Amino acid sequence: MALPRRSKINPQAIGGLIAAAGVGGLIAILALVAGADRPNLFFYIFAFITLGAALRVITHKRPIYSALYFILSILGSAGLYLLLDAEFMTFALVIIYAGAILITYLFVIMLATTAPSDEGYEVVEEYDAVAREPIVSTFAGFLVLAILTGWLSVGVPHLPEPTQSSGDAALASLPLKVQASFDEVGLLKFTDGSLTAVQPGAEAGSWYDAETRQAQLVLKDPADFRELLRNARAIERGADLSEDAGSLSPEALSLVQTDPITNADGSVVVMVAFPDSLYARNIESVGVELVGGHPLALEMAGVILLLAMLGAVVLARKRIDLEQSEKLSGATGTLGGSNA
Amino acid sequence: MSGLVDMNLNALLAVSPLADVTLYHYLVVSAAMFSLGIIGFLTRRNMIIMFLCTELMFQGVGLALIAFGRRWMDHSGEVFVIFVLTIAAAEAALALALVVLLYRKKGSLDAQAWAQLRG
Repeated sequence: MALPRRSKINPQAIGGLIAAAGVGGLIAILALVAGADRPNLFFYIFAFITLGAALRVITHKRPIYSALYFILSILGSAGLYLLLDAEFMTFALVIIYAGAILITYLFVIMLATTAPSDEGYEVVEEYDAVAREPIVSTFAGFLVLAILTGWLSVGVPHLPEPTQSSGDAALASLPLKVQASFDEVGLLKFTDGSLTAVQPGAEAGSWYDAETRQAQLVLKDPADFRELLRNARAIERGADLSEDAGSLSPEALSLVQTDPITNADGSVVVMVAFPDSLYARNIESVGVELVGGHPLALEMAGVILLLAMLGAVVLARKRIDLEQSEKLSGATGTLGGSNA
Repeated sequence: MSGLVDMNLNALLAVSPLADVTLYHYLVVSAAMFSLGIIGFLTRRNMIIMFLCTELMFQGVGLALIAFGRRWMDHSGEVFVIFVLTIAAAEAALALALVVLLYRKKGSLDAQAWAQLRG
């Protein structure tokens, strides 16, 4: 509003700003009052934005506004993705779709629209203003909607409660992350420092199991660790020891599930639980699933993108040839932009 | 915020349609987006808008994939959406290059202008 301008400030703009601030404030108040335990509210807000903008995409007369409404629709569905705990896809959607693909569309719309005439800049082409077979296609669209939602009405499955550890299967593929997490707690310094083996049920060696969120650590100096553990537990119970419990933090103490066990092969091991902070984040799970689960499809996606790029280049070259041949033959009236 | 307002609002939100969002809700939104895309593709005559409507259909499918992935606590849905994004990007590059080419040829974005291509 404070930007320099020639004309007087448009009262409509002020009204719109106040209305937008009011709606935003209302949503913020609703979020504060009821948002913490009711993400459903945001589902309805985002669904409304998404579908309303999608409706405007197909009804707006001017292509450039259609594309802009499509961006709004993308942002709305990005919000829905966020509600579905797909954080990585949320931002990928905003960056790739709204940021890259839609900008391409906007470029092409600007390239391929009739230049504004002198008398007025509101040029709406006849093929934008008049729909084709509106009744039949709307009927077809609602038929599809009825079929899709009809299938859905068989059952209403509830979404399971999200837990932090729901993606922990990916931890089996992330040994360095698990190792770093135990290192941070301070438990790895009693071992030889490595926790990379994934052998559920193995007897010897350090290993971890992502399913049960347990790890077995081979102790370097069992007596030292035992003493440290005893001191730490005594301090936790309230005993006043002159010497401190070494560097065994309360968090590390709470993770130790068993006192050291001596195995048949002579190694002394201790069972520990995973720290609470250790869980596979959304992006890690998606990455493991993408590269580990679908490597061939990933390669093919790269090939498809390469082919699309080649195709676009070939098409662009063809246009130049066309223009040159038209110029050489002196043909007029069929070239783009001159007259429709 | 007083407790009274808080209580009333919570009572209001506890009405059944607002009480719990299920997979069904997301699938309805997804189906509605897909249908809007179909309606737009059939009714609009501007070729760019027609391609925009296919992107709308992609969006509907993507939302369904993510919702199903969330339902089964499986990340394959998100991976599929990544591939859908890839295809959408490739389609945008090729289709828009074609559209520009056709526009240069005829000076019109009307899909009807190319009706003679019909076999």
